[in-house]
Amino acid sequence: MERTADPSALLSVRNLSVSFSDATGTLHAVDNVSFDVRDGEVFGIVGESGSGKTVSLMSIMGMIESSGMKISGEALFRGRDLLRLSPAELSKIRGREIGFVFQNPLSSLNPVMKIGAQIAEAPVFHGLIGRRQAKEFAIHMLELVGIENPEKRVNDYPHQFSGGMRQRAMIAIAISCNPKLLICDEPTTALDVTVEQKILELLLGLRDSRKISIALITHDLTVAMNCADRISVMYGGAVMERGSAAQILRNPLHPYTRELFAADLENSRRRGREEGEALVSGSFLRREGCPFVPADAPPFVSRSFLVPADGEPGHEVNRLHLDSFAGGFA
Amino acid sequence: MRVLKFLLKRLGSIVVSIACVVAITFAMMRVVPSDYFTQLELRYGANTAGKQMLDLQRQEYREIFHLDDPLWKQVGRYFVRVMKWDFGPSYKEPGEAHKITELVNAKLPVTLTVACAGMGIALVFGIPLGIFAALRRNSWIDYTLTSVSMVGQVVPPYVLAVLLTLFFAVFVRNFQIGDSFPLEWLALPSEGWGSWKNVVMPALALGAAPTAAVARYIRSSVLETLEQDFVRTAVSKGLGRLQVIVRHALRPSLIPVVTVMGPQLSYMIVGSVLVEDIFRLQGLGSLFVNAVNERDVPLVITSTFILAATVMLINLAVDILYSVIDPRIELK
Repeated sequence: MERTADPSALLSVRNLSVSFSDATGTLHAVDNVSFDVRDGEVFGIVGESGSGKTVSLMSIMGMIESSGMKISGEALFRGRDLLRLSPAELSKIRGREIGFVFQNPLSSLNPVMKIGAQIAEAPVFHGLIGRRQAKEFAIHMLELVGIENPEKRVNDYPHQFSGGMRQRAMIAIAISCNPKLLICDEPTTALDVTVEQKILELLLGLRDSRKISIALITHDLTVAMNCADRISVMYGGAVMERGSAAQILRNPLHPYTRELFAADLENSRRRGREEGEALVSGSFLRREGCPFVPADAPPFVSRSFLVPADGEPGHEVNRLHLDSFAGGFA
Repeated sequence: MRVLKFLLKRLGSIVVSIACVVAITFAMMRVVPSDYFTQLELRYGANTAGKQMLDLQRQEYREIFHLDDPLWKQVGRYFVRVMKWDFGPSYKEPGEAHKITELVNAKLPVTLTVACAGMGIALVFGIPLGIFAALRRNSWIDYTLTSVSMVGQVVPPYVLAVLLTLFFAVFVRNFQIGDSFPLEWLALPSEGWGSWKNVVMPALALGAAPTAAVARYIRSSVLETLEQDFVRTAVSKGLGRLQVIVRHALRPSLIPVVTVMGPQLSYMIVGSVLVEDIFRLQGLGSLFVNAVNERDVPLVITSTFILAATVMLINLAVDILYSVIDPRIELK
């Protein structure tokens, strides 16, 4: 595994660990995770609830506020380590250089604020446009994300929008400052399948037209396969496998990836791993070895690590449990 | 158009409710065991000649005030008058020359001003204090504000009024700044309505408890709103914590505050009597309390009418405020 950050990448995260401590114990939500988001690419992070995919991205952006949170590692964004920035410096990047799209567009939009005001808020706040241009700007953004009749819609409140339109408005907010990076956390999970396709098309179109890199967090491997250039598969706070979408589609090495492909989570539940167990129970104490290995398996001596798959540059898999599965868990 | 329909509907129901309240008061004043004249007798005593005179007067009043008419007729007649803002004469000063309307016109503004000023103080100080406590949650500032506001909430306005007077009249005057401390701030006009300075003290006394209440409600309401998803969106825009609260969390948090403060304003109008007495304000409160003691029926009914109307209008205003604060709430 690479030890140092890659300065050529837009966002380069190395050895990120995030833990939450309270009186009952310590929860290791993210354990020694590394990834890069390169210029103009869609980078997919796939995993089930509680796999640490959201925490790994939101924590480095200062979006998680918790008194017991400990974070270590390195997160280089355009030459600056986000983990070393003060909250004030970080909030200058947030919204301005990094935009966010969240899962549930209705609850993520302020119900008592006009759509237009919400779209123009960040650019006005960051001093990119004046207050007087706000409305005009919002209309332009609504048009850009494909909302019809934007001159009228700009004065609507979120509850007057349909689900797909709300997510389009959310995207308009996220790209309002023309950011370099868009973090999309389950952007289509709350939407209909037909709307989902349109939203994904919109995101990919924006990537091309505005040269935005996208970090796409999703539990849906199909969505990731359709949109992402490269993919990391996470489980239990660690990366199980990563590579280009094509590599993983062609040759999924890790049993968890295969399970995801088969949508075989029911099976994994029967083996005693409830979905989201790690975060929900709050008692996920870091064990040695790969988190995918059942707790009653023989203990391993070293932490999980990624090794290159044979003959496939860029395709890596969590080695430890490959061994363990070879030893009879598969 | 829909708003107009809503207003007409609500005003209609207000008129009906007030009619009921007035009718009930009429009926109750009839069954009360003593009347205006027995109260007079109790107060001043009377020999045999005096008693006879009172009885004669009682007979006279039966005619002047149509007391022998059936109840529905009396209520109806009263209501027709009230629609023209004419409350008729009181028992104390019978005859059409002295009308209660004049008393009300002179005193209602005083009471309303003090109550509204008190509410203004509550909002102007309570909201920022609540925001501040929410901003510094679980810090010593938060704990101090919370516990001080608890004290503020349990001290009744008349105690506070006495303390305020004591503090400014005795304590402050005894120190250097005392020499220049204007006495008129202590609100002691003998007649009518003084200057705006007379409002300050009673408004402070009346507004302290609501200030504490507003601060506490804003604090908990803002903290609850901060858990919402759209606050996360606001954070993702790069806004600071204060901006997130003021621009996004505050407005939705006002709903529970409005819910609590509407009735509180009515209580302040009703309860202003305590403060009026201490600061010698010529408000409605003492007029109405005396009316009940003297069994001055027309005045008692007028007081019920005015208080009921105020409470209902405030409730109407609260409902309208809801829809102003939250566009999802429709007036209907």
